[in-house]
Amino acid sequence: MSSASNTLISVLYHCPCNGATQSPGGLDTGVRVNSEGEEAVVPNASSNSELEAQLKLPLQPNSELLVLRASAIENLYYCDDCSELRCSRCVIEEPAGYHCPNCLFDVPTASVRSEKNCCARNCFQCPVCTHMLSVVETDTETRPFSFACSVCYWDSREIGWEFEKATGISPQIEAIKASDQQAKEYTSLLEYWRTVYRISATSAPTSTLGGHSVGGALKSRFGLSSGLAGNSASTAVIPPYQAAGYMDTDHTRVSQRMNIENVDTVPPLSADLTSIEPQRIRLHMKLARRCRSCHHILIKPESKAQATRFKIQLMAANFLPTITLPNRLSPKTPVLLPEMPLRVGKTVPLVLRFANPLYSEMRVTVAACAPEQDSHVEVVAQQFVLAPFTELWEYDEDEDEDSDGSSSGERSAGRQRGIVDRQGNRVAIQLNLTPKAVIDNLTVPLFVTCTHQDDMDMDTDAPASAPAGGDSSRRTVTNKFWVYISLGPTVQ
Amino acid sequence: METPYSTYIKAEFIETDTGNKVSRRSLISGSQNIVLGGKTIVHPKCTIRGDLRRAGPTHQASVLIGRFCSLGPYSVLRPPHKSYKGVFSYYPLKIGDHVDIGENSIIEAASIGSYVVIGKNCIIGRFAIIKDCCLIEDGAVVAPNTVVPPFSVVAAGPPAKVVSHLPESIQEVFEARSKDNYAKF
Repeated sequence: MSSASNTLISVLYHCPCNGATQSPGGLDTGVRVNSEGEEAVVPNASSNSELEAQLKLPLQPNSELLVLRASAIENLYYCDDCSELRCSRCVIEEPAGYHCPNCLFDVPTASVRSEKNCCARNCFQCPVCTHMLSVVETDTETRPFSFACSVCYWDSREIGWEFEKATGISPQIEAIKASDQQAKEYTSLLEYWRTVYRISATSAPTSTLGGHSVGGALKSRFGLSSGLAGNSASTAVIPPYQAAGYMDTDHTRVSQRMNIENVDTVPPLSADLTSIEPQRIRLHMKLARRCRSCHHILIKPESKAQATRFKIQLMAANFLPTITLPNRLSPKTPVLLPEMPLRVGKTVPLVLRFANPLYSEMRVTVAACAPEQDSHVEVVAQQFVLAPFTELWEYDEDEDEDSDGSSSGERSAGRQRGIVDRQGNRVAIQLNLTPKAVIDNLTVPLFVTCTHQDDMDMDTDAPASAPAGGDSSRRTVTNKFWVYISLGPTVQ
Repeated sequence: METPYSTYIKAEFIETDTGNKVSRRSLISGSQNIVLGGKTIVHPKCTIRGDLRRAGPTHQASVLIGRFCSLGPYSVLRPPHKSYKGVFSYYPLKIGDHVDIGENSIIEAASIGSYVVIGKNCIIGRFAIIKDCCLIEDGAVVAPNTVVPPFSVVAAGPPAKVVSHLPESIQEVFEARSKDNYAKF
C-alpha cells in the first residue's frame, strides 16, 4: 500500500462552526458570518459566475487555522435534522460506557465513581515503563505469584509484593498495604480527627461557631493556654493523639525537606525506585456524540466494550459526496495525477472524482474561488448530476474494469464538457489549474453545493394530515461547504 | 490520493478458487495448517510459519487469516509460543478480515481483529491481542501480552503506547481500502 508519495495530497472539508458556538444562520440564508474577522457571504445567485464573483473564502488557504477547522471527510459528522456538516469541535461528547483498556471489562457507572476511574481487577501499570503488568509464577514456595513487566523486566518482588493466589489480587494488595507504616499512621490520624469532630459536634450544639469547640481540642493537644477562647467550657476532654508509628527522627527529615533551598543535593528519581508502587490502569470511555444545536444523537456506540458497531452512526461520508483525486481510471488509461511537484505557470488538468453516497440523485455545483495570488483554477464542468448509489454497482464494477475499452466509448458518448468519466455513482471532472507562485503547500479552495431530494417521511405520527398529493413528504436538502485541496509544494 | 493500480506478473502469483493471490516467492511452511479467507493477497517473500503448531492428534489450523487481507513483502507471521506448567506449546494465530500488514513486520500476536492496519517494520510481541479497527503505525514495537483496545492508534518504540483514537467511520474506510487494494491488484 504505497501511500507515502501521496501524503501531501489531501482533500479537506471545512466546517463553518465557531467551535464553541454554532455560527448563526450558517451559509444557507446568506447571513453575514463573522468568524474572527473573516466573512463568508453566500447570496442566492442564480448563475455560477455571479456566485464566483461574490464568494469569499472563510479561511485563507495558508492560514494555520485550516488545521483546526478543516479535516478529511472521515472525521466529520452530519446532522440530518439540521442538514448540516458537523466537525469534532461542534459536537457535544458524552460518555456512553466505561471499560478497562487492558482487560476490556465493562465497568458499570456506579463502580466507576467508587473505584476512582481505575480498573478494580488485576490491571496495574509498571512504575518504570508504564506498560501493563501480568501475573507470573515465581520460584518461591510461599507466595508464588508476583507482577512482572514484559518490557523492562521489573518484578513486583522488588517492592515486596508477592501473592498467594493468581486471582483476586486486590484484597491481597490491601492486606500488604495495611501493614505499611505510613498507611497505618494515616488511618489512625483519620480516626482521631473523626472522633474529635463527632465529639465537638455533639458536645457544643449551642456554640455559634463550631470552630471554637475544635479549638478546644487543638489546645488540649498542643498544651496551649485556654485563655484565648471564652465559651469553650462545655467541650469534653479529648485525649491527645497517640502516634501509631511516628518517630522523632522523622521530624528532622520532614523539616529538612520543607526547608530545601538548594536542589542540587536532591537525588534523581532512579535512586528512589524501590518505593514506587504500580498504579492501577485508568478506565477508557466510549463516547456518544450529539449535535450542538439540536441535540440529535450523531454517534451512539454499543455499550459492550468489545463491540465496534454503532447503534446510530451519522457520518459525513454517508451524506456528502466524497471527493478524491484518482490515480487513474482503469489500468489501461493514463495516469491522471499531475506530475509532482507542480510548476509555476504551467496549466495542468486536475481530475477530481465525486462519489454520491445517497440513494437519490444528487445535483452538484462546483465553484472555484476568485483568482488570487497563489493559483488560478478554472472549473470546466460547473454543474453535474450524480447518479444514486446502488449496491449493485459494487458487483458490476469488477466487470466494468475488465471490459473498459469497449464501455468507455459508450460512456463518453453523451458526456458533458469537462466530465472525464462517469461510472455508477461516481463522476470525475476536470479542472485546469495554473500555479502562480512558489509556495510550500498549494491549497485550492472550492465551493461545493449539492442538492438532493430527501424521500424520507418527516412525520410518521401525523397520518390525518397526510397530503393527497404525496409530494410534500419530499424535501429538497441543500448542502454547501468549502473544500480545500492540498497539492504539495510548487516549484519554479 | 486513491490507491494506484498495481500490476504483477501473472506467473508469479497463484490464484486460488476463493480468490486468494499467493506469491510463489513467499515462504510458506506447513500450508495445510494455514487457512486463508477469500481474496487475500500474500506478497513475495512473506513468511508464514504454519508448521509451528501445537502437538496434538487432531488437525488444527495454526494460522487463520480472514478475507481481503494483505500480507506485505518480507513480513513474518509466527504463532506465539509459551511454556505453561512445564509444557511448551504453540498457540494459534488468528487474523480477522480486512487486515493490512505492512512490509517487514514481524507478527507473533495471539489474535488480530478485523479492519486493522499494521505499518511497516513493526514488531508485534507474543500473545498481544489487537482488537478491531486499530492502526499500528510504522516502526511500532508492541510489547508481549499487550491488549490494544478498539479504535486506537498505537505508535513508537518499546513499549508501543496508544497515542490517539480513530474516528468512528474508520471501519468503512479500512474496508473500502482493502477492497480497493484487492480490486486494483
